[in-house]
Amino acid sequence: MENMDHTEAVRMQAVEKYILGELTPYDRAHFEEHYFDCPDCALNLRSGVAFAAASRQYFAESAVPAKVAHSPRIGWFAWLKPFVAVPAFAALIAVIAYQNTVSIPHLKHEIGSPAAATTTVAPWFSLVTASVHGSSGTRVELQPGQPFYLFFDITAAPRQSDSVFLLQVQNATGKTLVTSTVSAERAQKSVVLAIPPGFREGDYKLIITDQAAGTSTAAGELPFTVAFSR
Amino acid sequence: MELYLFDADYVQRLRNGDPESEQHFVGYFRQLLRIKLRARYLPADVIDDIQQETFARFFRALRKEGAIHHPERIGSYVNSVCNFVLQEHYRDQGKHQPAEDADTEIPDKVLSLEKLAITEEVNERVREAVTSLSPRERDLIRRVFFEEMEKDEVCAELGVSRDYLRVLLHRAIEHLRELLENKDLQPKSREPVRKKK
Repeated sequence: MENMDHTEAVRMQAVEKYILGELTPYDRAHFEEHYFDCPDCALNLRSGVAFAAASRQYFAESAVPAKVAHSPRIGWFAWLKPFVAVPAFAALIAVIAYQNTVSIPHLKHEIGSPAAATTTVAPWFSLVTASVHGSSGTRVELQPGQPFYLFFDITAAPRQSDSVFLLQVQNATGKTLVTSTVSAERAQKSVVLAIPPGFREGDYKLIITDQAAGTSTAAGELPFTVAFSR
Repeated sequence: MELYLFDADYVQRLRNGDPESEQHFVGYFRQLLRIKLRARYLPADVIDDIQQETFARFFRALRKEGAIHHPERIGSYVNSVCNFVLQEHYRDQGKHQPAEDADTEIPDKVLSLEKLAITEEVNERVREAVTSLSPRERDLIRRVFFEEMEKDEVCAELGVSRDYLRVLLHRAIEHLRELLENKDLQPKSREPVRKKK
């Protein structure tokens, strides 16, 4: 294909195919050469990418693990057992999908209390833009004693194919409250981490560490702040 | 809002170090470079490095008289510089740059959307758009962009064609385009629109 012009780009639905990954590398290269000079195509492309990214965030935030709310004993005694979380909503509603082990030292709250039976569904909070919000990161607004989910991406490339990412949620004093692990393969997709009830108001960080061949390398830090709804 | 057109005047202002023009240039092309590099599934830190290097080389070339022969095609120049930097990146990694000839396979994978900062205004507009979709259309968007399922599998299960998905995306683009025409995909950057004469 010779240089792509705007008419050709529109005819072949180049913007949509580019976003969906449906162009050959050859056509992709020609379309890139075109949209860098074509404000119309550039605007359409930016709009399409914004839609795809924002809809992804919408579905992440609107996920409702209904069974957690109505059968608290099933979901939340899992801190005693190996527990794994994935962003597949159908799987979460039916069962809690298992991929990683969560250990929760020092937090002994149980959701099986009468108060928990009337607790609203555990909310989800996206840390995808945590670094954009500034040093305090994403604001996590909760009821006291409410569990929640954190949704985030591990963007650092694994150092080795058998790298394991260690996830640690630490409070402002550096004390680790939640620990989990994610394989390098699993980390290619967005990760959901379940946070049990008991978090107090304050600043926290999700620390991501790449562990391979006995060494640890920092792979990311996502801040968030817990605030109770009044 | 001041509007920009890529022409000889614009390039001269950049050459003179005009802060507003520089801010506009970086803001506009940063978005396009990030989209281009996300289409190659590069890690975020590599994207940052390649982007920075592309801008550095562009501004070095800008200072040389006659380096930019066609100011109206300044975008193509930025794209070319980025391609050179990408080539060097792949070579440094000991990898072959993926072939870009007519016979290479279609990747058929949505470009990387991870950690893409979106303004609240865009989020709000998309929320409206998504909730106004039919349940099947909403399911299609969710499976493709959030669950990242194989598109053939999704379309088969929902009884729609791949073209239907593209048309749905096209409608969403039309819906958002007006908002972005005077706003930003990424905060704190500006975009060029046709200059008022």
